[in-house]
Amino acid sequence: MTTPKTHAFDEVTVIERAKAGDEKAFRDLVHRYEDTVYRFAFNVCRNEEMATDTLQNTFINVYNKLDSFDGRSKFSTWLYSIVTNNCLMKRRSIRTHDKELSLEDEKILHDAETSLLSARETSPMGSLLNEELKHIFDEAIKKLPVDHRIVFVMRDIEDMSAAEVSKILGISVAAVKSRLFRAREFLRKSLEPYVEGKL
Amino acid sequence: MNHTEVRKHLAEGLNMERNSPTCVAVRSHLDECNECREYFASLERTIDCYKSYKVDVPSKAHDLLEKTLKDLQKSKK
Repeated sequence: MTTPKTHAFDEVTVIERAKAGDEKAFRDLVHRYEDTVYRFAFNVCRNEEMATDTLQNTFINVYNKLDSFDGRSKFSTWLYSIVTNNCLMKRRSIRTHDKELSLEDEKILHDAETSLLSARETSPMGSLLNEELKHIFDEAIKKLPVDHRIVFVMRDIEDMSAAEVSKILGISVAAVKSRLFRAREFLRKSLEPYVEGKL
Repeated sequence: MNHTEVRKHLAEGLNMERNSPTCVAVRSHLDECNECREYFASLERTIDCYKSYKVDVPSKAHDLLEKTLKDLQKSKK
């Protein structure tokens, strides 16, 4: 889990105070995790409006369900479960035009490199602007099935362990590894022409 | 260990710091195999690009959240 902004923050005490109805404590909790929740929602949805809605819904859920958080897992683990569910619900409720691919088909992985080439041909690397690159990264990740995308974001962007991802998503560690392998392979092949020499 | 096995371990998130027999075998293969080193570097570049794609909470989203929380807390009183 990415550590949010931290000073002297006694999370256990703040959560207990928030549960007891301390409004300031609840707001402190929100401010501590606001960036984390928004960033995760954006990384999964790749859409500002959906990420904004997910941010609101997540903290409404946290406010309404905080009493049920028993402290047996980390607060962040509990929070990620809520954000993930909200991302999935948001995607179901809005008809998106994203064309997700089935990564079960090996040919998809082999063809990934060519899937974005038309964009590259009209916009050579040297003249690509940051915003254009971001668009290319967005388009590539949006082609991943959402369950693979979530695993990639949790493991590689949020730096969570496979065990933590497995707990949040309720799937086996082996399934986490398998989805991560396919997601990474698809993104690596899709973006190889763009990331060469960029770092 | 062959190319495919090595790449699968790398892509699954192998912790290269560990001294397990698998990690040692993977490192040993990487030392010898230019192709797999290139693969590993390409994988790392892709992940690093996504990590460097920074997103901040837009002020509109933050303000809306503040309002939502105020309304929520007011409605509970």
